[in-house]
Amino acid sequence: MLFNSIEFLIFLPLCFILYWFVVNRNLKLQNALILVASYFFYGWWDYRFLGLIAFSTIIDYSLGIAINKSEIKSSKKWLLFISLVVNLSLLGFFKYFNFFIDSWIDAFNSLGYEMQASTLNIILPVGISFYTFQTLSYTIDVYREKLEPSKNLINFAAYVAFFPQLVAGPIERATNLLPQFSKKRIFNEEQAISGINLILWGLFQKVVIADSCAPYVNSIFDTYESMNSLSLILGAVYFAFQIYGDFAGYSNIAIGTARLLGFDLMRNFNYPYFSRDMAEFWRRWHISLSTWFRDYLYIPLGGSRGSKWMQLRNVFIIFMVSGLWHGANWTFVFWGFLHALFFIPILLLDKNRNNLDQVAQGKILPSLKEFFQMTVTFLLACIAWVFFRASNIAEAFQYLKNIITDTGFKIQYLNIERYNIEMLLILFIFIMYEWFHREEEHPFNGRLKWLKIGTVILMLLTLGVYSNHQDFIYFQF
Amino acid sequence: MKKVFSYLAIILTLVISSMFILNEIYSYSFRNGIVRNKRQELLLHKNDKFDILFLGSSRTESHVVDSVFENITNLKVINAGMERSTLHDSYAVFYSLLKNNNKLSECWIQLDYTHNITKHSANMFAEIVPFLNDETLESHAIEIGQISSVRVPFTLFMKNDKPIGFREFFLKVINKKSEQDFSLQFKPLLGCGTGLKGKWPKSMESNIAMNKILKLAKEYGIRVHFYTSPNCPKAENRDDFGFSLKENYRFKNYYDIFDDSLDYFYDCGHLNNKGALAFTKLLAEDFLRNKTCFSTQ
Repeated sequence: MLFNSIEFLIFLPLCFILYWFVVNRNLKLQNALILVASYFFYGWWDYRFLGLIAFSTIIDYSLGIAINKSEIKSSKKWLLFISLVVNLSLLGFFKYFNFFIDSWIDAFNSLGYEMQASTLNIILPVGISFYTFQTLSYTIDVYREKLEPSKNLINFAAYVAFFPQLVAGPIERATNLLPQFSKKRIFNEEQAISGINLILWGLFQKVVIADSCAPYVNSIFDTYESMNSLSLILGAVYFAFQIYGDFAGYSNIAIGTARLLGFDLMRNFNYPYFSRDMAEFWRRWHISLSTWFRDYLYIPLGGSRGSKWMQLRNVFIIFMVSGLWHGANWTFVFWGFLHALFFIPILLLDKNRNNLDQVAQGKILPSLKEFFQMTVTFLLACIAWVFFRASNIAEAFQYLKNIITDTGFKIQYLNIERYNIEMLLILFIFIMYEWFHREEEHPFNGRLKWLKIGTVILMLLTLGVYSNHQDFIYFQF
Repeated sequence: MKKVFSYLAIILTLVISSMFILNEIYSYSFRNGIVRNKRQELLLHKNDKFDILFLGSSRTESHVVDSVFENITNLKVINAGMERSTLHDSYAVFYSLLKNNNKLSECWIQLDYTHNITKHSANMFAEIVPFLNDETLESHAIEIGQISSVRVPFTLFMKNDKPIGFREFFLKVINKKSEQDFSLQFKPLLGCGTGLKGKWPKSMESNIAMNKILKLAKEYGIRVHFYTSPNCPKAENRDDFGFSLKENYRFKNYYDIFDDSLDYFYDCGHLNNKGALAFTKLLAEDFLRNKTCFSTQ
């Protein structure tokens, strides 16, 4: 079920009413309702993979208890190892099996050995990367004794399948979300209103920004060979906003929906395109994933301790694994590699923790230096996005090469709902909305709150894309 | 909880009232603004007089050269054929032209597989949306299941945002003329080939839009002629469909007249410019010889 669908428009109020008016006096029933609703939500897309979530839930639930009960260190390690193997095997099979087979065959063929391709027709279950990482964080935290294992299967199953963030995050840590299932929920009006605001803002990001950019991006990337410099640059910029609007929009709707049910999810995006360097960008982009990798991969590898070479190695590993997490294609790995390259100078100069505050805090406009830094960071992100969006690495290089060689700055006509100028105007309004509210989580605050809400509603109705329905990009990850 | 429901109520009121207002503004500007394409031109054309109206799909739009026909017959014609147009679209055009006080003497309907299509084409339906205040067009769209009798205002504009979305609305408001020359009713196809894009159905199915066209024609005293358009011999089921048509209509058959002149084709289902000229000439000469069939179903 998609957040921007009629089905969800019926599903959410129904859940809300049952949750707060029918089963509100019984925590167990509330959690059971969340579990049933979450399985229904997921099953609406494809009920065949519900078994996979249930399997993953039962395995990690049992292993969590077993790790906690075991008093021998080596047994604990073995149990954790089983959890890692089971979860990563499921992920590996459904997401990476064909990729690794193809890559092996290509490698052997390039060495002169003739090999036949024999891959399987595997369907990627929606959200597998998200809930696998969520359950992994649980067993790891239980192993590290940061978390008591859940003794309630319903609570644990509801945590794994919690529908607002099941298919595209934020990837919640067990330490944050799981205890919330054990606490009595009291309806908090302010929390619910902020949830509604986040849902509205998320819908705007998805339906107006991301989906308006999508036809342009598809058209430009599909025919990049015949596009001039200006179109190619716009293609990369539009994709930067498409993926941001798409993913941040989903996250905001997820966080808002969870708040309506009395849960607090972690923030996933914090105005990443106002970052002054790549380190800041990664503190603001897909925060739940980058902190997951930091806590469960980067730090165990040694993190920023040790020699510079070790630090460099760790940075490359974390970024390339992060790239691979996004999809079974070398383009994603290269995207991660590029981000590692962009990160290295900052690390070597020990400037990776330079920009911890919000840019131009308390000011209306940034300084020239800040503006320049933000522009450079955005351009670097756009270069990397070209690899993320392209079908293969060679195509991405050719795309970038054509920007320089096919110099032409005339706007090319594409048969799309909007003109370039219209699209750029929408993006400008969006950037202004974000800029003037960059210290808040959404723009619907202050004296002009209702004017801003009214404008966003008008834009949703008139500029939203409803004919050419676009799935959320991050579903595929 | 009360505060949350009040908050939601304000947002819902804003959404619903915006939808009502936008629906009215959009409908008004589409019904009264500048004409920007052929479909709008046909739905809005007023107070004119034509001897012959050609209705049909791309096989009318790109096969009947109106200027050639007029030269041969000395009659004023209007080629209302449109790419992907269905009989339901033709009904909407026919009805709108009559409603807008246009005088027609004859209506020539080209018969092809679109006879079996049970809905408006997507493009034409979008153009009809602003005219759904008209009871006839609305009830027809409801009858064929294209819209529901209970509708949320403005949602049809939202669902059809490419042809009648904000861009088109804005261009209408600022009176921006279209770069396309839709006043040229005949749209030539250039090139030569006999590529197949699908196959014909084996038999013809009844179509309520046709019944309504015939009823309207009778009401306004307009003579209706049926004809088929040339297709290349490899068009699958062409003859079966033609046979099925013969059981239901009296029509002038042209679907096989160019079986030996494949250079007249743009693809198997469409004539190119050269073929269209030859076909129009034949059509006009047949008309003058009074060879066309005047028919009712």
